[in-house]
Amino acid sequence: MVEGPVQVEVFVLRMKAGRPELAGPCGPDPWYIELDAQDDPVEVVSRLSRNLMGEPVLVHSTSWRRARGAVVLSFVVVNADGQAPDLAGVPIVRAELARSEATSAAKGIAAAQVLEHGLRHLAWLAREDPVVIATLNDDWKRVLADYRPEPFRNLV
Amino acid sequence: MEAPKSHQMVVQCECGFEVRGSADEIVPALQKHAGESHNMKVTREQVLARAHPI
Repeated sequence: MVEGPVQVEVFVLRMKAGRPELAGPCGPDPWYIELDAQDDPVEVVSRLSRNLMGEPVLVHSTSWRRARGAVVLSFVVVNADGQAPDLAGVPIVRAELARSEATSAAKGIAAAQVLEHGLRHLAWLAREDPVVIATLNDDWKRVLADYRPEPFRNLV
Repeated sequence: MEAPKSHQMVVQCECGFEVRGSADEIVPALQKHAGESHNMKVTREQVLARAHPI
């Protein structure tokens, strides 16, 4: 249903009892948002997150790829522990990354692989970015320490 | 051709959101969901094109 040349795919994260989980408006599935040409992706993701689930702790773009007939911008949204408790959460499982060839795209990229890269990107930010370092709590820093830090990149 | 207003219909968003009711009930409900959750503007015709009678 979400269409258009630029779309956003959001992974909403929440910590529960010291373990990270996916807990967005679409449950364990990625949350898709449509963008108009004049939209600022970060503003739209932040605003919709705020309206649906309350003020997010962190909103960050982590990758992009070609999918769904569009350019898809991937975001992670970190909510506070226990935020939006009516939204069901599922534990996050690790995945192998989808790697491109030197000059061609990966054949297929699953949502879990996009999330894996998003968490590695978050791990990089948690080491490099003063704002993220100051924003994420100790539970998040402990969890992200298990992810190999990796900066923003395209996934295809 | 649009279904009679009293006919019960169901329409589902790809995210799983579902609404049931008459055309006059499901159209504003799905338009509200699409705007609030997906930043989308959908027309009455687009909603009804996705709806199924129940």
